[in-house]
Amino acid sequence: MVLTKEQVRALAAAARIGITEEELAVLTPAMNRTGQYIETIREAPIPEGITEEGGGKPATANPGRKDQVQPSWSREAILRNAPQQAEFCFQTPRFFAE
Amino acid sequence: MVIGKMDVGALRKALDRREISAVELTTYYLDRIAQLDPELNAFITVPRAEALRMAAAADRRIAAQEGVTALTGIPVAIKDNICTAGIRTTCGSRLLADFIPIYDATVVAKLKQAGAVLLGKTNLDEFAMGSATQYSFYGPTRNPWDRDRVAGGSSGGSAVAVAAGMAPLALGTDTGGSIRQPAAFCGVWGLKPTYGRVSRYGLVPYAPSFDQIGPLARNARDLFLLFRALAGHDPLDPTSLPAPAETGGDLSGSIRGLRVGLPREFFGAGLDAELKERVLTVAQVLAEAGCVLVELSLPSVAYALPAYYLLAYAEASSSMARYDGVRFGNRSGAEQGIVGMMTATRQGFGPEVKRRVLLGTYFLSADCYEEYYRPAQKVRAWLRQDFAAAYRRCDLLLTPTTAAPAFRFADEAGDERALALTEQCTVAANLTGDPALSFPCGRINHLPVGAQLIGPAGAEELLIRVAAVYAEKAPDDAMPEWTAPDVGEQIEV
Repeated sequence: MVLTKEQVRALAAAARIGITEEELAVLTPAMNRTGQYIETIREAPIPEGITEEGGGKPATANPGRKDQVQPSWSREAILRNAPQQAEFCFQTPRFFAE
Repeated sequence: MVIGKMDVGALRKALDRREISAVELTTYYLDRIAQLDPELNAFITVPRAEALRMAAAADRRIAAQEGVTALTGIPVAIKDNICTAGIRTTCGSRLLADFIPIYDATVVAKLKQAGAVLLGKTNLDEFAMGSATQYSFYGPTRNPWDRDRVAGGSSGGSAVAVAAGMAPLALGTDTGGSIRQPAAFCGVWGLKPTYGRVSRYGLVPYAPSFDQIGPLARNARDLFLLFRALAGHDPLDPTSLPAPAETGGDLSGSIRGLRVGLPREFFGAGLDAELKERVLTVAQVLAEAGCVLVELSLPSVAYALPAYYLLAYAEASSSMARYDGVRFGNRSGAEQGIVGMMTATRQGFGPEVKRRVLLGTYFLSADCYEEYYRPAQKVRAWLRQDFAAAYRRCDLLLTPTTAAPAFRFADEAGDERALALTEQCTVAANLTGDPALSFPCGRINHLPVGAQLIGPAGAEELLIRVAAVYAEKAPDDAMPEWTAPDVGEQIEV
C-alpha cells in the first residue's frame, strides 16, 4: 500500500483530525513505512480451515450481567468534565444552519 | 531499617509491628519522587496531600486491627490511563490535561478497599500508543540506568518508578507489550495477565481486544501479591472472565518435570547475541532445577506484528472517536461549527496517535477489509491455534522479552526500526490473550535485560513460580540491584 498526501489528507478529514502541511509531510512517509510492512500479512501461509471468526473473540465465553436497575451517576457528576454546558445538557456549536 | 531496600513483605511486617507508620512510609516515597523525578519524569501527577490522607487512614486501620490486608499502608503508583476519582487522569495527552474522573477504575477501587496508598499517576505514551514513553505530552521518561536511553513503554513511568525506588509497586497496562518491555528495559518484574482476568473497567481504552492491566514490582513475591489483589471477575467489565480467579498458591510448588518450550522464531535474526545467551542461561538454570526443555516452532509468530499493527490501529481509530470536544477533554474551534470544532479539538492529538488513528481509519475502509483486515483476523486465529498446539507439548514458553537492551533516544526512522524489533517479542501474547511475564535475567554492560515466560490462560501463578526459581538459583550478578545506581542516597529511618 502506498498512500499519497491527498489520500492522507482525506483520511484526516474522515477521522476529523486537523493536520498541518508540515505534519502531512512527516505522516505520509511514516504511514507508508508501516503500510509496506503490513503488506507481508497478505503473504502469510495461513493453514486451511482457519477463519477470521477465531481471531475475533477470546477463547472463553463471557457472562452477561443481570438486567437490573442500578444506581448511576448524577447529571451534575456527568457534566462536571463537559467543556461547555447549559441547562443540564452538553452544549455544542449549532449542528444545522439557521 | 532502610525502607528502600525492603520488599512489600518486609514493609508489611514493619507496619504491623508499628516500627514505621504508613504516613512515614508514604512520606519517604514522596520525598524520593521529589528528589529523583525532575530528571526521570516518571510521574505526571503526584497528589501529595491525598496520598498522605490515605496513609493516615491506613494507619488508623492498622492501629484498630480492622480490615488490614497485605496492601494496607503500602504505596502503589498508577499508570495515568487508569481512572482515579478526583485525581486527574491525562493519558499522557494534551486533550485530557484537566480531566478529573468521577469514578475509580475497578483496580483502583480494589486497591483502596485493601487500604493501599495511591502515590501518584505515572507517565506513558499518549493513550498508551508507543513503546518508549517518548510520545507523552508531558515529556519523555528517562531510563534510570542510562538517562540517554528510553525507559520503554508505554508503561515507562510505572517501570521507572519501581526501578528507581520511587514506588514499591505499580500498575501498568499492556496492549502490545507495554508492561513487559519497560519492565525488561528497567530491570523489574512485569506481568500481563490473561485477557479478562483483571478488570478493565475504568481503563481508558486504546485497543480493547488487547488492553490488559497488570502489576510491576521488584521481585516475584511482590508481583504475585499485587496480582492477587487485582484479579477477579467484575460485572462492570463485559470482557471479564466468568469464574472467580483462582489466585491461591504461595509460589512454593515444585517446578520439577515442567516442560519449558523454546520457540525458535523468538531466537532468530535481530536478537542481540548476548541477550540470547542470557535467555539460554535462564533455560539452563531451569533445566538444572528439573525442567525439561522442548524446542519447538510457532510459524504464525512471523506474522504477529503486522497483524497487531493492523488490528490495534483499527481499534484505536474507533477508541479515539470519543475525543470530540463534547463530553470531556479540551475543546478548540467552537466558533467553526460542529465539524470544525471536532477537527480543531482533535488536532491536539500528538503525532503518534495521529499516525495510528489515520492508519486505522484506512484499514477500516471497505476496500481494505478483504485485503488486510480479514487476513489479520485469520493470523490472530492461527496464532491461537499454534499456541494451543504448543501447550500440548509444553507447559509454558521461554523467550526474550525484547530483542535488545533499551535503545537511545534517536531519530524517528531509527526509533521505528528499534521499536519494531522489540515489539515482535511481546505482541503474540496480546493477540492470543495468554498471560506473559517479564523478569530480569541480568545486564548487558550497564543495561538490564529481561526474559519472558508465556503460558496458557490462567497460568499466571505458574509463570511467576518458575521465574522465582530462576531468580533464586541465578548467580548474584544475574539479577539487577533493587534500584538503579546513582539515583540518590537511601534514606534511613
